[in-house]
Amino acid sequence: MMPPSSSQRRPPPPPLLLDSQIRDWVVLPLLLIMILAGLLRSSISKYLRPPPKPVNIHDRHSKSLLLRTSRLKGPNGNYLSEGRWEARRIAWSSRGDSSSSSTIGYLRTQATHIESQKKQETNNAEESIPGLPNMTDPTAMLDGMKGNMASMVQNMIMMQGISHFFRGYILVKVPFPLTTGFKQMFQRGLDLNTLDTSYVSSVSWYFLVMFGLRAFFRLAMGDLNQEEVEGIEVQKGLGVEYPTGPPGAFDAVKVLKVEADNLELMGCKGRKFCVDEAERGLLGKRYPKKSKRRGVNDNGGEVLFGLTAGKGKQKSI
Amino acid sequence: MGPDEDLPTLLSRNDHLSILRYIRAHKLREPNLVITHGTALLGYNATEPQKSRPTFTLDPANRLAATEQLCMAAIDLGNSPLAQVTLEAILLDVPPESARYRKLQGMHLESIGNYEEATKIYDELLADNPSNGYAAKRKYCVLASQNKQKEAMQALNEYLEMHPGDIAAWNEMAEACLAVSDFKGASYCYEEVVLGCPLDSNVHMKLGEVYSTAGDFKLARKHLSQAVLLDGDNLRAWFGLIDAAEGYLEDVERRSAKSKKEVDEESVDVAKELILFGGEKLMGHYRGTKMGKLIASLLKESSQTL
Repeated sequence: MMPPSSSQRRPPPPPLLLDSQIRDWVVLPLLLIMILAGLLRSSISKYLRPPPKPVNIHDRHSKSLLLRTSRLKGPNGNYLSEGRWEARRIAWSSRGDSSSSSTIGYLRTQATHIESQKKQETNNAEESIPGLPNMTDPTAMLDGMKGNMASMVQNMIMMQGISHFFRGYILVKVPFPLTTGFKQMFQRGLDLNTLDTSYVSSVSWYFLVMFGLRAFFRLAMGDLNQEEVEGIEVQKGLGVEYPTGPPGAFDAVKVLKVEADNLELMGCKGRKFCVDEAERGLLGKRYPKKSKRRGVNDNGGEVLFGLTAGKGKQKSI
Repeated sequence: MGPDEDLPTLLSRNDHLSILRYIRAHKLREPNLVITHGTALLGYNATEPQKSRPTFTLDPANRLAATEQLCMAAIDLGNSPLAQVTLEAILLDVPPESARYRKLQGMHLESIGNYEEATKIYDELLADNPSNGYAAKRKYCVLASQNKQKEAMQALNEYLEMHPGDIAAWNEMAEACLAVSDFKGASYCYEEVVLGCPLDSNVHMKLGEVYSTAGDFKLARKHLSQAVLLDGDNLRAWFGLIDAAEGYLEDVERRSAKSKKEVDEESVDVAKELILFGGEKLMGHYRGTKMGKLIASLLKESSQTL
């Protein structure tokens, strides 16, 4: 017994028969072309890759400083006692105008130091080559793009070619039904509203294969071998690295100032300093119980309101 | 990274290349193994390097990496003729201005005691690229191996100014500070090392000892407790903990006698408990050994003061 509505529904369209010639002369050749093109692309980009460049000493310095502050900010910081942690935090981030400490924080002085040095360097460069604007070295800009260029150009040409030669082809049918939402993805270049979504057009086939092949390429070409990885490590120590991104993307001065502000806003409230609890943890049940003198901080009150640790440091020694 | 099998398996199979790669990947310092298997793999003669006949069957990346490793091992063991031969072999594939090659060359010069030439190489490297951390570090090492304490500390300080994230350098600085009895400086450096490797019992122990020597017994107790928490078999830390707690008690006694200020009784109780607890633990460790009696008498002495 069929419900009445189903009798009114349009009968399903007869399945399209895809010519086996299409399979032999379009689908498989496309796949082959894409694999070869991918291999070609990876070897070309290897040659186009610019040689490693010396890292700017200021960048390296500030990155190293950031590494140091990140240790203090992270869970590693809990292994210092509270007073020492707070003393470091203030010594690195203070602005010099608060009552707790009269000196300007280490990160801030480093930031101004780097800023003045950079200014001096650009001044020197301008004196030697007048008319050259600072920071914009066109070849350096190009270097970062070269690697991507090869794949971009190739993709554009291939896509144009495919949409030119195989416009309107239906190449494949996926063996399961799909909603119309997939039309954009599966039938790019076809404007047929009535066509079932499980048919795949030529340009869409290109995209599917392009993304699907990535894992295959990784398998086929392999990851970096041990010697290459070690080489990169050694280069880091020698202070050179492959440029990533455009030059000037890392602004040492700005980053240091932001880091100082971050540190300034951190407090030792909410942190659990496990070194301060170490004796209790060690003695466990044998820890002597005394409930009086609750108000006195374990550090003798040197971190009252989290402000006076700079003085407390001297007191505690 | 590195071979999947472990070193004994590789050694039993005598797989020279994999042994060398394993040692590199795990950053082991096994110069003798490297010399044995490196010379076998690359066709060098360790005793008479001039008679070596290097083979070129490996692909260049592998061969260069192994040759560099062999050169480092030769420098490590003071086999400078072999180091010289490997350096020459590296030069066949690598331009002489390569920073990696010149670093090796500098270390070779250091090992034969030619410090002036080595320093010159490092200075040139730094002039080429001031970010070269290796060269800056080696400059310190040159001074340190000549026992020029003050200049070495200055060089290390310069390095740390530029690379403050380097934990190993902070550790080196701490030891340099200790050598000149600068306990405050050493404590600062060890704090930095603690931030870098917070789960290392030995670092906490050393920091605690430095605090204790500088007279900050409270912090010393905390870090020494942390050290024995991280590694219960760290006997030096147990002794240090007992000593710091005793020092704390003496300190409190002296101060209260002088100024009659109120004493943090809870902390005093904890210190006494720490001495007892530490003593028991130590006795447990030494029970049945020849040292047992000696340790017992020592501990008895300290517990009598409670």
